[in-house]
Amino acid sequence: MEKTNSDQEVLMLEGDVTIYNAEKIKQDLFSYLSKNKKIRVDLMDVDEFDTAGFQVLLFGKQYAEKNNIDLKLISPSDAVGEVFRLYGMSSLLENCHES
Amino acid sequence: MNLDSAQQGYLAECNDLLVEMESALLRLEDDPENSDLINAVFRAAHTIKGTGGVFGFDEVVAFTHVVENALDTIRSGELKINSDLVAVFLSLRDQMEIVVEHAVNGETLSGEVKRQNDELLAALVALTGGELEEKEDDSSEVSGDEQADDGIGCSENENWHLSIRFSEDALRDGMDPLSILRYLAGMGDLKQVITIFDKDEVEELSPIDCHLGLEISLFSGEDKETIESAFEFIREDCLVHILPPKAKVEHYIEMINALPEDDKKIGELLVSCGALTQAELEGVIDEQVENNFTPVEGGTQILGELVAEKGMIQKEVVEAAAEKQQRVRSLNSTAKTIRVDSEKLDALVNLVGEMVIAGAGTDLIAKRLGDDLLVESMSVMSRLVEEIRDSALRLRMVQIGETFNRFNRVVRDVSSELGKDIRLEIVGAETELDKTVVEKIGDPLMHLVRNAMDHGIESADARAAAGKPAQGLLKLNAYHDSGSIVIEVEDDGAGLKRDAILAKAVAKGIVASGQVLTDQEIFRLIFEPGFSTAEQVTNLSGRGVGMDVVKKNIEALRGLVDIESEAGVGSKIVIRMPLTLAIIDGFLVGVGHSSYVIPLDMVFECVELSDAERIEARKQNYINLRDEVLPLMRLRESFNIKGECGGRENIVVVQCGGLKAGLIVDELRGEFQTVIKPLGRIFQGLKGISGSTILGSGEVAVILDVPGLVKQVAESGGHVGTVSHGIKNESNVVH
Repeated sequence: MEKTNSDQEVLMLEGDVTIYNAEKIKQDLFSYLSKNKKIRVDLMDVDEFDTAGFQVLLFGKQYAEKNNIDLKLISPSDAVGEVFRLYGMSSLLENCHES
Repeated sequence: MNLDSAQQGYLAECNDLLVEMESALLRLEDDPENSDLINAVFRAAHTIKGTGGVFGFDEVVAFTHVVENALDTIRSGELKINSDLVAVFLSLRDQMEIVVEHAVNGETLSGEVKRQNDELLAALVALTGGELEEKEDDSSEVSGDEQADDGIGCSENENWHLSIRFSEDALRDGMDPLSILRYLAGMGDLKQVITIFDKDEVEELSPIDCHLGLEISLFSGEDKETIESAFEFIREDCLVHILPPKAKVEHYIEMINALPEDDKKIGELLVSCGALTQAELEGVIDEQVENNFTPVEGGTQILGELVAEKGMIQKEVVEAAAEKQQRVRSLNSTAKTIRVDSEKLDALVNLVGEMVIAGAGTDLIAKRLGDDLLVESMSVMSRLVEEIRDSALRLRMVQIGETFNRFNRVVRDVSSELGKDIRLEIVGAETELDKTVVEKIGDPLMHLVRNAMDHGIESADARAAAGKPAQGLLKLNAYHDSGSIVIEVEDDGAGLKRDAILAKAVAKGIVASGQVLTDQEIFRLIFEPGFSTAEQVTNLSGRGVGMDVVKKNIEALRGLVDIESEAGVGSKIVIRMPLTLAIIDGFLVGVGHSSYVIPLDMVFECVELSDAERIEARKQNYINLRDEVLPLMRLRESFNIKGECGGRENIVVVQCGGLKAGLIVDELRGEFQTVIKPLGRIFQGLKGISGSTILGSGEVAVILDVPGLVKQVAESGGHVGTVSHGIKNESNVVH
């Protein structure tokens, strides 16, 4: 689920990010947030995405902002992109990998 | 679900609702302030429209929508109910019935129906229009399609503004806000969606609680109802505000006040959402200050209070929620009743009938075999069969009230047509009778009711002259009496004109002139065929329009009809009907080798004739039974059975409608559960027989038509001997 790339942590989310596993993913994300200052959440391989999943990322973003953590949501899959667009939150997404 | 059956269900539901609506409207006329009634009418219209929309019946929706809006202004107290309005609503109700029926049958509305639609709606607007315009000025209510004209006080926003705060449980309840957004996106163009998320301490939050709110700007041509439908499943626990395009600024104020967030923040959100311009927002805030509209305490508001106090949650939303609850409640109550196809019920009753016959056959065999155990178990079986029979028949029993209530409308319409003031009083609406009987009694009753209003009850002037109250009274009464149901149609009119009827009967050759008839017999003449054309009746100003038809219809149901009348006081028509047409408790008697069944309810007692009485009875066709004259009828003679009775004779005393008669039979065979089989067409004209049944042995027994026989006996028999001979065309006299 993760890989290290130079100084930033990348959290790969895959498959379903929905109400069924949102709690678990939130814990994973927040444990990353507590340890790192620069995190990328890669959403390329997310197939199913719902409001619970959306909230996890929203929580992460807000926490990161408060605590000066550089959190970016990158490479959204179509499923993720649609949800963010519907919520009018597309600005939270980055469309490609940052180097 | 099969769509066809769903549509039929809709039709049935609509019919129920329309009946409800009608009765509520009629009661509103007397009780115009009753908000329960107004709500009932509104709910009926609303549900018809709503469900019609589900099926895509656009014409139903379009028509009902206007009606519903008008009702809404009444409900909000801006328009008072008066009898003109009730009249229009009643016509609208009738029209709704037509429109719904067309829609369900998949027919397009004919030009005629459309024209009627337009006329009725125009009439409605004429009555409500003025008030509706006024409403624009001072109303604080938001109504979906009410798009305020571009006057002062309206925002410039062309879009719908939706403001939603989800409940925490929304996600767990399976209500993902995304599905609502997708649904709305399908309805129009989502101009702007702003997701509101203003929680701190995100570490503590659970992502499976819903913490979101939405401010949505939607461009859509749909009406409010449709847009609201997106929130149907959530609006009970979520805060939903819907503002139409160009809503008045004050409505935004209300909404801002009602939302849980800081007013200022919401205001900014609205601006960013494009709902309000910055200038408008400033205006709003000024106004709030002026009107002291903002009970803000430390930035947060006491939401519940606000909502309650100012009715700020959209009225329609609240009502919709209330209605949903209502629907849930009515769902619960329908769990206690189920609609069953009446054919299925008939099939069941038929089967039970066959079982009764088969049971009787088995019983017979058991008795013949003489096996005690078998006989005993058969008797248990018979008892159970009897209980099943009773329950099966009870399934078919319905209250007569529904039929009676239909007459509220008839009385209202006919009395206004005739220019008379007539009140309908209903007694015994809870009396139950067989559904088939109920269905068939409607037309004869309608006839009698109309007759009573037209010819029975006098004009107001005549009533005043006679010293009666100006308002005429028509009474429908139903009750049970010895196995029959009795229905009375009573009026307090002038009563029948005895002399005029007699003169007419003589002129018509129904009665020989010079005959002495009692009043009662004269009144009964109106049921004679040939007494029944309209012009005669107007000449007579008595009753009689098709009364012979009424009588024939009722007799076809094995019923009896009679009339009582008193000059100046009124008339009463009494209909006596059997409770059921399917299975009865019978009393089996034998004459010669034949068996006959007498409905047990009508058997009063059985008497054995002594030799002396026998000789007496043979001479004069009546006996003295405990100092009462009991007219007799010898079944052996009536049915032309050959041979002499070997043993003693028995009299079965039957009673019907206050008359008693004795039927002389050879043998009493005891109680018998009788499944009534209809007689073939050839036998229908036979007097004295109402049906047949099959005995356990396979033999056929004839069911006696006791009311017919009693009448025959009374007419031909001892106590008023001269009468029957006076009526020339009385063909059923038996000597």
